[in-house]
Amino acid sequence: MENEYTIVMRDLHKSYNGKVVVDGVNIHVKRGEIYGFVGPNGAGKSTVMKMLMNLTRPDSGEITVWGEKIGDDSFECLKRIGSIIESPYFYEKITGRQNLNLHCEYMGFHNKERIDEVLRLVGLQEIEGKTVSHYSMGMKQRLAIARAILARPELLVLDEPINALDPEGIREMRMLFKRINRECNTTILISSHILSEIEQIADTIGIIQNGRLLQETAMSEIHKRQTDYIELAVEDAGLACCLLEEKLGIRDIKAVSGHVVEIYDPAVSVGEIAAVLVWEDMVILGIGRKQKSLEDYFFQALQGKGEAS
Amino acid sequence: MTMEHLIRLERKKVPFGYYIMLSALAILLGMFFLLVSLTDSSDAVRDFDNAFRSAEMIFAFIFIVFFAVLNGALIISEYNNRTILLMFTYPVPKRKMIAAKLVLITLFVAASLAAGYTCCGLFLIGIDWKFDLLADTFSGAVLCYFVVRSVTTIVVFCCLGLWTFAAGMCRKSVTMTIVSSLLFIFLRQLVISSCKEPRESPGVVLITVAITAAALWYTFRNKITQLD
Repeated sequence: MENEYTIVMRDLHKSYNGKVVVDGVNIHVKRGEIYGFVGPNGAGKSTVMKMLMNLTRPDSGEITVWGEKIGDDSFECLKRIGSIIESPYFYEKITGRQNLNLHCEYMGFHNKERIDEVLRLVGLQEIEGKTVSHYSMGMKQRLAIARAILARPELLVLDEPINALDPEGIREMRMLFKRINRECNTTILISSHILSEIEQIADTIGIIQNGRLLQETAMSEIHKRQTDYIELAVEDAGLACCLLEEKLGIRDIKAVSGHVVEIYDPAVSVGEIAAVLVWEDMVILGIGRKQKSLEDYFFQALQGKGEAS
Repeated sequence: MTMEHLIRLERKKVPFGYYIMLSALAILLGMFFLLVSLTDSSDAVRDFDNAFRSAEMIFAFIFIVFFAVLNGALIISEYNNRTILLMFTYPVPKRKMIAAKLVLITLFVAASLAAGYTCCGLFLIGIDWKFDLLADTFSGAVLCYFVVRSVTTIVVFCCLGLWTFAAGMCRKSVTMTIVSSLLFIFLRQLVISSCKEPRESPGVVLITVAITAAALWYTFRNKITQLD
């Protein structure tokens, strides 16, 4: 069972000055999967990632990576992990290449040709000779990703890695993470507040709020639960609900505002609804089928509808 | 990873040539002040002992502050700029990485002080030989005295420099590191002025080393891995 997982976190607790920031978190990241870690700002994502990288100790609980408990002497584990924690931090007075060289030395990774390869992968091959202090935030983010993947890690821990990237950069990095995951079977733990991005790459997501993990669910499960519904815009949502209940016998219906109605009954079609409303002389402002996104799922979970971990 | 390798990596992170230049300037400044003190018109006795004491006072001020500046630039700023988060994810013991930085700074300042004393010594001998400014003449006994005093003050100044590291690490503050260096220089002047001879006695040196060891032990035990 343990072999199935790269990371297992059990009942993690952490407080700073009496304020609880991580409260009984249990996380299970399977070997070779991409695990999306989402939550509002200050939810405890970075603290959990710091505990994983042994940058801060949990008050209680345990973290195992590849079955080994993380502690002060987990150097063999650290050699196999690439990470970005908090923000892309660099030695600003030296060049990007020199920063990557230093990283190789500290990691005991002796393949300097790989530096050219990763610089090309993140689109920074043209930056020779420029010190990092002259990089834009987006360039630093790309360089941080290059550094994280440089030593061919088996596990990538990426804290908000697509912050500050432009849409093209975000797309490129998404493809890169997918490629690394697919080709090298690298396990990736990635946090982001851009839910649409997590939705596109994650196999499993964990939703954290106020230090508590609200849900840990496979994306396939979420997709199953992402029911289709019909969104109807009318002048009087209340009246439309009554009419549709009376005429079509729809029970699963919700007026989300004064003008918008959501109908979850899979048996009823857009045509039937439109016909009833037109027959009753109601003005239809808009009607169409929609699907709940990860964003909807996320907010549902935050509002207390998710199962506790 | 060996300490030597870690020190070599530390040297790659900052433009060390800049600090070598600063150190050379500090030595030149020391020699300039020495020349001024030798050519002033007061009636004070000018001999090798007095001249050495002047150099010692100038170097105490310059190099303890310089030690604090290096502590700030190479260690404390890693915590303030958060690059320490990167360093501590490497498969190397955290305390060993900070120790490597501290060894580098201590060796660099000790070497600078040794170079400073050598330059000032040669300068004194040269200027006395040419202009006969000093009451006594250079001899083997003077050289021996010079060497012992130099080694003693290098040890004491490095210890005071290490105190600034401990003070700065309390709050991870560069300002506190620099301000503490001024306080420690003042403290040293107070201590040696209360001694029979205006210099550190062996007892004072021993106490200084003991306090340094205790301060380092406390800092390495409690402050190095504390990031928040």
